[in-house]
Amino acid sequence: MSSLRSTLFSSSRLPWTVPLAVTSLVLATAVAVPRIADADADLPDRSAGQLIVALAESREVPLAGTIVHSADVGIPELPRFSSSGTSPLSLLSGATSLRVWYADETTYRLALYGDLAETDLIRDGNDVWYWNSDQNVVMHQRADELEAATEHKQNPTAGLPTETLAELALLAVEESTVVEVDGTVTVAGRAAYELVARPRDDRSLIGEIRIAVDGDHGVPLRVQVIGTDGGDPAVDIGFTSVAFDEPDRSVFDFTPPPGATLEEFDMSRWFADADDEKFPSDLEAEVVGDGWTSVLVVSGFDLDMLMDHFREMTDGVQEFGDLSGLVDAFIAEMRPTVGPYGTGLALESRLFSALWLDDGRLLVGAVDVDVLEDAAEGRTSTP
Amino acid sequence: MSTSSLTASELGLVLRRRRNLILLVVLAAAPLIIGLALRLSTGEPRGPNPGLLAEVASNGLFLGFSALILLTPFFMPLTMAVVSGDAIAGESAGGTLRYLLTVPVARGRVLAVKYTSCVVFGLVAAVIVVASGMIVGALLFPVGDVTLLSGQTVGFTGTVGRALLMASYAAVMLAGLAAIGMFISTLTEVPATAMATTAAVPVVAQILGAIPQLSGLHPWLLTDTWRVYGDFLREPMMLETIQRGLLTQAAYAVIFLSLAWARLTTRDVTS
Repeated sequence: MSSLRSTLFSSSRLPWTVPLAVTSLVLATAVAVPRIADADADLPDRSAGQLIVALAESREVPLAGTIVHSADVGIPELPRFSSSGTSPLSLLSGATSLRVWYADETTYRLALYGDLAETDLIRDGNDVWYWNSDQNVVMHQRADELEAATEHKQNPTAGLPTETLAELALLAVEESTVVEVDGTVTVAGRAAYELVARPRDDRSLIGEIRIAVDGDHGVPLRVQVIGTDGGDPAVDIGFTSVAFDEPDRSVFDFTPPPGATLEEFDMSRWFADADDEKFPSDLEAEVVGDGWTSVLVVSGFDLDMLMDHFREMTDGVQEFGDLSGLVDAFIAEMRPTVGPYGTGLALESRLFSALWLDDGRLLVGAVDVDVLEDAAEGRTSTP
Repeated sequence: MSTSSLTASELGLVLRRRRNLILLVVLAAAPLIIGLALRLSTGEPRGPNPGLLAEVASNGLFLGFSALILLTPFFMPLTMAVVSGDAIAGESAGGTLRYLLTVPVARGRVLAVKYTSCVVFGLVAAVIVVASGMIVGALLFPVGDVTLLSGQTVGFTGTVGRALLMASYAAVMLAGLAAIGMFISTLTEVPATAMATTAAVPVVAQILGAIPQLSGLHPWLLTDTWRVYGDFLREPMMLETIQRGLLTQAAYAVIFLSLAWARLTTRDVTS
């Protein structure tokens, strides 16, 4: 038997068909399985208004899942803010994965994963914890204090039914934005509607914003910001897996580990600071234009002074990384410009432009630099 | 002879070979060197993962994890390249392959026995690294509950449990490389060539993995999931990446084992 097999095989090339078949099968599986999961979903028709209601009501839905965030805004690779990239600032460029557990509005956890590091934000009832494994730092905040600090910013429309609010929202944006449902998609293996918001003004750098809304639960599964230049989404944040079950309570347990630095964090101080005279008083901001092409004009912009203020405000808290590295990366990317408005530096990216003039004005908007230059000259351009 | 007793005798040969023993001793010594360097150095550790090494100073058991993570990119695959590259080519060079292939043992079984002993060797190597790291760490540094990346602490049993899971994962990663090594080993009669070629595979894969412009290729690379040990140190563990790692290695293993089988089956015994 064995000799028969060897004469059959060793004289032919027949055995090589086995690895060929195995390789084809493995590759086909690796390529096809995600595609099958992404097959087009079949859902009954819904209007944009119905989807907005579903989105608004989805905060009742418990879930656990993994989110992958990738940003390609067209700015240079930013320097690594912390050694392993779990600073919240790492969300600005590259790809990041997060895991989220959500039981209800007062019980949730968000974990930002780095290579060998993790940043967690956990709210369990009245305790809000921030944990950064890189810095070995725990920050704790009482939720009732946080709410007291932000209370005066309460929404006056809170008492209205969701349907009315959805209609109001649609009406409010109608003049500047097309909002429509653009068929269905599959995200993280779930059938979802795709809600699209598209600026009517074609000078905006934002082509459209697509939100995938879960067909059953109304939870936003993916948000994509697509530039007018086409190509890959400039920002793409979405679930790669999600389960709508009540998460196990143990994921919300947090006790500061021994040896970690524990800081009682008072977020209300930040809000107080913002209203306070601590901000440079000659710094003035106004918005020129409206809708998608509005331009933020900040005058009296002094970078060094602002950096000093930032450092002062955060009390040297290093968790957010080194901001000056970020600023330097931006400045390195800016090109000098000259115009009737004077001289300055301009930055263009896929989603926004910035113009920093020598007279201390900083103009930022989701528009081309031309629109910023018009605004700098004081011409409020109309489409 | 039954396949299991063949495997046992082959494994005995692999583990008793002096060269392989030296490799294991080097792997066991590496955590000692890392531990001593940390003990003797003053000031904050620097480098790509300062947190990882800083943790060792406050808890010695962490050295088991750190050693595994530090040895995974090069030293552990190098060891596996030597053992798997030698598997078939060594028999060719020694002139013993022809006896193996002419005895009435299916060539597939020869391959299975050789591969199994490579995989077990990889597991032994990984356990040695972790165990040596934890023992050295316990001797040089204070020991206590280990703080996971997520901020939770686990006791001694939990730490050992996670260490064993990580060692098993490392063994599976090495098993993927072992299959490639087996195939390369069937292509040549010079063991050193097979070893060097196999050792180059993870190096090349990791270089490709470091080039951002090739990000489309990255998920397909052998080494893409080699460094996800951090996901064992979270609470709850990040099973998605771990599962992807296991599947990737399984895919590499079946493809290259089938290639090795085809090569061995079509090979002219008299050569």
